[in-house]
Amino acid sequence: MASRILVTGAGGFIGARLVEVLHCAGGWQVVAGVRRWSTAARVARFGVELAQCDIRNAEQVARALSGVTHLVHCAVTGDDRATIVEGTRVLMEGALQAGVRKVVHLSTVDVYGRPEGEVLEDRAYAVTGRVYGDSKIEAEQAVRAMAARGLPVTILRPTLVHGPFGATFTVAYAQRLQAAPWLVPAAAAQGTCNLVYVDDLIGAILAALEARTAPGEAFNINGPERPSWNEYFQALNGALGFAPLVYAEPAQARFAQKAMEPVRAVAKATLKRLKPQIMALYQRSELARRFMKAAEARVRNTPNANELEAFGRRVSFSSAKAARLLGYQPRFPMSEALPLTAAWLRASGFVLAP
Amino acid sequence: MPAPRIALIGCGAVAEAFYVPALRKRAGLARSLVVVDPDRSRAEKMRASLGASEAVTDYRQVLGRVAGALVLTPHHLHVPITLELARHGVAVLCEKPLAETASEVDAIVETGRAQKVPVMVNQTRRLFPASREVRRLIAEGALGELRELHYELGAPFDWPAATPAYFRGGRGVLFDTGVHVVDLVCWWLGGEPQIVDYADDSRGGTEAVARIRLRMGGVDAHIHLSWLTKLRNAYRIVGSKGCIEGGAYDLSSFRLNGRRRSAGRAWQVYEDFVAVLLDNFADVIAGRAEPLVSAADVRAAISVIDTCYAQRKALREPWHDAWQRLFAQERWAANG
Repeated sequence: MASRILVTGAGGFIGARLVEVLHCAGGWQVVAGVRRWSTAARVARFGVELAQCDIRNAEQVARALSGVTHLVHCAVTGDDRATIVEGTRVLMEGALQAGVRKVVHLSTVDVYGRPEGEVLEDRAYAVTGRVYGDSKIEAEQAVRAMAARGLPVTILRPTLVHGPFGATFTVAYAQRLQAAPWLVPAAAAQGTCNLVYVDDLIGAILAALEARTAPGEAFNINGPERPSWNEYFQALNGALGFAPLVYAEPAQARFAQKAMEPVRAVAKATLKRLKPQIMALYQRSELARRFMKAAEARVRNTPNANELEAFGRRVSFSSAKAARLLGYQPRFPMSEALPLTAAWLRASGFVLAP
Repeated sequence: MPAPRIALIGCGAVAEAFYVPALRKRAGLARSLVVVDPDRSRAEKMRASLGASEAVTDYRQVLGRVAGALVLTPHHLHVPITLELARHGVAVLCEKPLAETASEVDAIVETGRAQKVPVMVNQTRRLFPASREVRRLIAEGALGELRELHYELGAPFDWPAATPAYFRGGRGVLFDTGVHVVDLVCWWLGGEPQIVDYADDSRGGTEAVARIRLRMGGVDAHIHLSWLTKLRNAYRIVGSKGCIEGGAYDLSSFRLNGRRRSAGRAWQVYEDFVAVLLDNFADVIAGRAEPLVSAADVRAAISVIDTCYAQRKALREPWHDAWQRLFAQERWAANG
């Protein structure tokens, strides 16, 4: 009989891809857990079973886990600590009660803070004050507490996940490359870009579901290469068929970044306080629409201080432990992954064909 | 003149988002409403918020007691409820899409005719001033001989659905969103085009991306729809003498040969058109007007959509098929 597997966050980038692969590979009875029905459009194409599963809601969690033998926890909501920490706690407690045979918890290399050099899994947690990374540390601690109570759970810490449907490291950079001017000087982007293609992460999840490892064991999941950020930008630019990058002068880039900081802060605060009014104005006035679109593109295309810091940092997250104990083997270097990504970006209307 | 007694059937997201704001501005109509929803608390809440006269849980309870009904239920209930209402002499304003097949539309039209009750459909995009002006220009030959029509409409699906009904039954973006675009194209071109090609991304479930190629006379029409990503959300119509370009959400203006052309009052939103439709529905019930969009008017679009599904081909998605490389040589043959 097929194993029954629940994927939380099935409306998201990684969860949806996992549902697709599990369904297509066969041998699994897949339950796609979504917080809101509206996020199910991507996985609904496969006719898989859908379950409403807000991980903060113990009743919904218990229902979704009914008869489940395997669980992969992909659900996160941006910088929402309540979901990341308390939701994980509720879900893992539910899995323990339901007697789930194997759990994979998706974490992040952000639990290491902003490290330099080679990072192995025994590196200590580093709290940075950023909600996402700090909350993921707390979530890992909750998972490990549950592992100590007997939950057979494996923790995966993927690096920067890219590929089709990836908003942060795929769509955002593709749109910036298309928009021009390119505001990241080559010299500012010589740090390491620890990219892992989404299907390699899926391969790691499948391996973790199968492997017998100690409960609560954590694994870095990285791609097969360690390009610089600049090499990634150039490779993506090339895959999209765009003209070679024309770099901004460092002084121009610094000025743009500094000038944009107050604009970004004001826009964020205004949107938070007056979102309904702003949306009404957007809907009703063509002039307002044009202004807002232009302003949003400008903000989006200008790197912020955190990004510039990351572009320059030299760090490598080792996947050697995952290779050794899980049999993890990344198969998608940029040369294989980016043509697939570019085809998706064009077909989905994010970028225009060259 | 007193407002006709009308039932509002289905208190879900479409009622909340579009009909309630319009009804609030029509106090007489709102007060006379009978609100219907199988979830009594939902029905009662909407009754109270509109100051309506009554809330019930089954639409059959309004048969013989109302002159008209707004059918705002999940899509798959449109046909059976509309037919039953019409059979009992109740005029109907049904949300889009009216039906899945042309024969269902025919049955509704026939029933309405036999019972002498009007059946209308909310195809909001036909009411936009820009849409109406585009149709007029095409009909008057302002573009010369038409050659191409392109329409893209797409955004991540974000409808606040209370149930997964949208993802059941295997009819997705083409049926739900596409009915707006296909209907507009049929209306602009003045008939039912031939289907040259149809492909979508369904893999046994409900499609989220669809591409259609239609032909009518010498016109090639290309439609691209998505529930997954934001598309250009624009249309372009090219003729031998000129070109029209417009935004899908620009309700009142477009560009004719590169120059902006206003077709009506700016500052209009969806609810404004629902208000127009409600007024028209009240007038139609009173015998003072013809329906703005009747059931018969949408037959061509429903027929095109149903035929598309029958001829469905799979979209090519190499990024999807790459998962097979994970299993290329070995190990994850069985799970465990």
